[in-house]
Amino acid sequence: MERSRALRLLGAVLVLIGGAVHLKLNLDDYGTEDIARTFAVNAGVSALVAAYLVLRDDIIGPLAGIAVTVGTLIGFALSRQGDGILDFRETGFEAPYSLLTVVLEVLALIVLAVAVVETARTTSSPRS
Amino acid sequence: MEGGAERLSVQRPKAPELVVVLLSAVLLVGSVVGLTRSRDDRGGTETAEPAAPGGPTAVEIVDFSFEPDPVTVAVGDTIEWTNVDSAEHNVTGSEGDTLKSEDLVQDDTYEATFDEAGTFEYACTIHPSMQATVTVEG
Repeated sequence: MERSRALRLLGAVLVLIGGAVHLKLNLDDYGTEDIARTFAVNAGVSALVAAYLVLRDDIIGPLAGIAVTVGTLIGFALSRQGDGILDFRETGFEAPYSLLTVVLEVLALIVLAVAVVETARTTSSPRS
Repeated sequence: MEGGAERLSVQRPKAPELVVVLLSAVLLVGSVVGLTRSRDDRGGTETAEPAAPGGPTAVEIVDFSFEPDPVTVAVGDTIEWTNVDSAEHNVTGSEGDTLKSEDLVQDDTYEATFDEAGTFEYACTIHPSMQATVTVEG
């Protein structure tokens, strides 16, 4: 399997699982109403990005995936700082799936960053 | 067109990609459902059972808040908190040991009796934004 394709496929799967976890939290009524809506939006955007990653062989997919994972990690961090986010504050990794979410997002970030480099390298190389 | 025609970047999906696309479609539909359903559609927002005469006053922990808030009782009265949320919560007073529950999973309850008048502020230490007040009238 071509390396670039394998990276995008793996990145898509990780983004997809991350989105599924957020949808699960939404359906479990976890968090305030605004947070639950944010989780649903995360799931929807993750679905679109995952599909794009496997359907289009360009740099936009990996970059969009990085944006989703970074956004998710920032939201996670903000929810554990000061007054929290959207009137919601969590502590540590006690919340359901919190550790899983961080591990997934960090893995996705690494894989997608490599995919960006790989895609840039591939597209800048002269085609035979 | 020949030579200068750009190669389309759309790939012909193979089996793994098709699976991802299919799952993405399912997730997208799920996200729309999650986004459009209101709190009223969700479980765990039922109205609390009214307290039986002479029984404890009911406070629900629901949607990451204590309801009702504030709650007013008389000296000697008991309040029973019920965690309706799927998330764990606790009931912890800001001062003293009058209110100090274990972490409550869904449907767990916690009771406390108030033997002196005053205003008691409490919170969930797992979710510090959840704060409420009990007023005990003499």
